Amino acid sequence: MSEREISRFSSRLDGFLSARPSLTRCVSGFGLLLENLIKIPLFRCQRCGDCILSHTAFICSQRCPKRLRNGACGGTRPGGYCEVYPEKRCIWYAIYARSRLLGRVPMLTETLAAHRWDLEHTSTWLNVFRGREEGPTWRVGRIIRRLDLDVAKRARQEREP
Amino acid sequence: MRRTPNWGSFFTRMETYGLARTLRDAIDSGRFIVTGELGPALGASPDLVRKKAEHFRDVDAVNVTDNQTGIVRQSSIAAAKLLLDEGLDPVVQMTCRDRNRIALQSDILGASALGVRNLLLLTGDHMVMGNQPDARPVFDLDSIQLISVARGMRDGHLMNGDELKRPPDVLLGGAANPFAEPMGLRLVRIAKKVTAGADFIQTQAVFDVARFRRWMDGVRDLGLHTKVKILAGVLPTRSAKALEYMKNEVAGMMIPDDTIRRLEGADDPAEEGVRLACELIRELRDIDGVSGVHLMPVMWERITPRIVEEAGL
Repeated sequence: MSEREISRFSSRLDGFLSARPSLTRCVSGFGLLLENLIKIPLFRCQRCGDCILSHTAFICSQRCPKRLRNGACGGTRPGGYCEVYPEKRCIWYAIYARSRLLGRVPMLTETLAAHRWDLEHTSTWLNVFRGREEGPTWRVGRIIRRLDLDVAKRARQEREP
Repeated sequence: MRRTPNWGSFFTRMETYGLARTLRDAIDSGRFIVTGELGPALGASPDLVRKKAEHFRDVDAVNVTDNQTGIVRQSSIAAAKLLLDEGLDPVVQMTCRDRNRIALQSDILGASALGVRNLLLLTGDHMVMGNQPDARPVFDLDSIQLISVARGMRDGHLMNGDELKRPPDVLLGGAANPFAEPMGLRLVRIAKKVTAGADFIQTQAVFDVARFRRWMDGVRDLGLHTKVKILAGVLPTRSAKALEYMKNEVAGMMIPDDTIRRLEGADDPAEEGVRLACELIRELRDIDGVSGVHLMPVMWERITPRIVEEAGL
């Protein structure tokens, strides 16, 4: 399916569901149940409804007490312990470690938009199909282009002619 | 030399009450920048901020903290207005701890209307660090998102895309902690802040210069030092006890034991504190990519003029 076909499908589905509120409640309830059954045991999902698991190496970042979506805050204690719960490790340390392991660090470099609170406790999967939020990020190239990681390479080349 | 009058900067000055020194001037002139920091008073009187302001005549701009560590103080915007009336250029700190996106955007507009021209946008300490841990944490945005929202507002639109008739004319700042692990993730964060639109970055207080140098190497590798002004944090202190307290109680502070021992062993800890700060500033100044220092004389504001003079700033 091309991207245009996908977006046409989403807008049609969204229109169809928006016109049928009780059906939407059924579908979304079922979707949420299915999603929770999978995501809560696997990722300790916090049901934010605006899922960024594919950016954070499949560790739910919303377990952070500040619910940060763009990386660790500056308050972490020595050894990587949380500012708020001194006995807990910072979730972002785990995310960074696994991102390096899986080669997903470029995905951490994309600035993620603020959490959409109107989507909280709704089914992310349905939201993606309805075109209400962006789908998971499979293509790394797009992200790299955004941050322009080449900056680092160019800076190094300039210093060593 | 430019012969025509620089009307642009003249009008900016008019709007900011004809301040003697501003952060924008310092950045434009390319000289070594010095900023200070003061905490607003606990109480309704304007006198404490006015009194503290006297110690910051020799710096380019003064940060006004926003209920630091989650302890109630006067509003940072109100205190900034008091500083403006005293002829100083305030940097208003804004944290995401207590306000959602609606309040933050409205405060950016309000601060700008009062004449504030610099904002430092932070995620903020969690309230469990302060004395009212039962408050509701907001954290609707994080610092990076807030920087990009403020940048959007400067470009003329709100977060939802609504146009602003008169956009706020502000410099945007972010914070960085060079001493927290893992270095790679920290560099990703500062790169994101720069991409989001930060004009200057103030770092956590530096005590371990070797560690700071390594962080700066990473910053230069990413080419970030050419895009933002990096102001290294310096915390002048006169007591080993205060350092010990900060090490244990303040989030994100890394203080080597050597520094604490040096202050403990000194005959006159205050003199040793001044010497320590001046040594640090001289070392930081020589690091490629450091554009200035940010002085944080917590509870010791009156030492600022002396440090500025002795460090040759």
